[in-house]
Amino acid sequence: MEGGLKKFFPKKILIDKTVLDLPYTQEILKRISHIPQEVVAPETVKGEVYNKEILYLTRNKGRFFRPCPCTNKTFYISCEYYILEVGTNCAFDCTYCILQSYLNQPFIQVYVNLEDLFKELDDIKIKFYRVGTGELTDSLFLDHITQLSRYLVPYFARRDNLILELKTKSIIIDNLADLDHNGHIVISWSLNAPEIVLKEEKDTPTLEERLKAAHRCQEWGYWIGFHFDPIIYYPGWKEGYKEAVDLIFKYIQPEKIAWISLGTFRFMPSLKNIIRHRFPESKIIYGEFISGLDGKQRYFKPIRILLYKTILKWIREYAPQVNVYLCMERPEIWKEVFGYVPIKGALREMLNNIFKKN
Amino acid sequence: MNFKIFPDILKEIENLPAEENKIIKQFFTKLQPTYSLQKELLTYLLDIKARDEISITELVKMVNNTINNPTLTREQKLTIVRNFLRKRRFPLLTKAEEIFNKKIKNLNLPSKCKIIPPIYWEGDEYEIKFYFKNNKEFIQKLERLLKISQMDIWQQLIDGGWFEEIFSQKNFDR
Repeated sequence: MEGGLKKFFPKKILIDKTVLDLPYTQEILKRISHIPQEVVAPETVKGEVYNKEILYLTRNKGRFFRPCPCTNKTFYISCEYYILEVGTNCAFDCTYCILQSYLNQPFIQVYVNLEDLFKELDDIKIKFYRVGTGELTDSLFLDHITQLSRYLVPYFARRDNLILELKTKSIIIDNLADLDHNGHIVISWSLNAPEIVLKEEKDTPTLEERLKAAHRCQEWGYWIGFHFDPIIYYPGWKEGYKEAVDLIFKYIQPEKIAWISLGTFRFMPSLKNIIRHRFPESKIIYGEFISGLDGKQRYFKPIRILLYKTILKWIREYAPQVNVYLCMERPEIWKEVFGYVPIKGALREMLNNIFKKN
Repeated sequence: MNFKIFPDILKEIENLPAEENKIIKQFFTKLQPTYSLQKELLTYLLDIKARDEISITELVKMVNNTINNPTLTREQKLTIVRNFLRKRRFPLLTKAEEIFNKKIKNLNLPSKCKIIPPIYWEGDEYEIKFYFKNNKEFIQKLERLLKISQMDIWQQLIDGGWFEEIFSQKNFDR
């Protein structure tokens, strides 16, 4: 399928009655007035995470801003990222999506209590943080409906100690065109080998479409990021990932790439059965996985090293200076791939310094 | 011996086509594995079936000679069958174990001395275990170990420099 979902529209909207009167809720509902809507009491909402036909507007009752819950930082090197939880789930249906086993909330949820969100951000006065909205959802796939970027980008543009990363597989970027971002925003794309995009990332735009969108964002002056995650070891991986790297540099100038991260496929054991049943044609769970020190299934170490070293070499051929890092990897793997192990906090500083220098 | 296939295992088997269901029950009844082995063997069978597009019937046929060999004990049969399936499911991991063990053997370690790598090489701590009867033997073994520590092959072993060898085997690099 050429291009997957261009613009996602849910079949039904549920509105938590406690947020109905919020201005942001009303603004969103106006944009999708053609879709059936139902006001509900939050305690009555039941459903499953795989039901992506319903969009549920509700409030985040917990914290919006918190450390990335990535993995056990004792054993794996963390980039010390922060997440801004603006919603959960997304419309794409990637085979490997960890949210299938991580989320326990139904439907696609959008948190509309923006006042609370900005209050939390206002309270961050001292330290420097990289913050992303793309951990529990896709940052932009709903932006034609929510226009959240039009609130977040100007806010982060004014903040000298906060950098916002909008991480996506979508090509919904029109709202970003005329915003003053002040160099404080990274628009980043999850990338994969074309064959993996086609087979394992159902309903997503093609690699080339994503890179064309990235090219436009770069023209608008945004920092661009890329995440090869999850890298899959499959027959033909070399050709596939080489093609993906070549395509990046066909569309993107290396100087404005903030970072490229690499992470091989890893998952909690409970995800295996979910993938087996939901995507019986997929073979990605039959790789040579071992139990990592954090309890996640990971490729056997030599496979991870081979994948990282090979892809890094191709990236370096185009962009010797670009910041490349490994997402939640062992120190020995850093040593093998980069020749050094970042000391505690060094990876965070390397990524923060990109913005401090500019 | 009162052998049973455990309920959660049975539940998984019941979901398979009738022919495979029957074959696995026979396979288990002949080998009488423990609960954890039932789980492990069934996982291998299902994973290999899905990945290699081979039927469980064909897979079990490959170990039929072992299962029906009257000169082997049940434990020996289980070990051979388990190793066969594990190797088929994890060709790189088992190749790595072979290479590592061969290199360890070539180190010519002192007698009754064992090097234990991190599980699946995922961590970075190696363990060494050796026995000695008296101080003289203790010192002799330490001296031999010290000599080994100067060898290139030792350095390669503990810093993972040998990992690339795994992929140099035919058909191992995808």
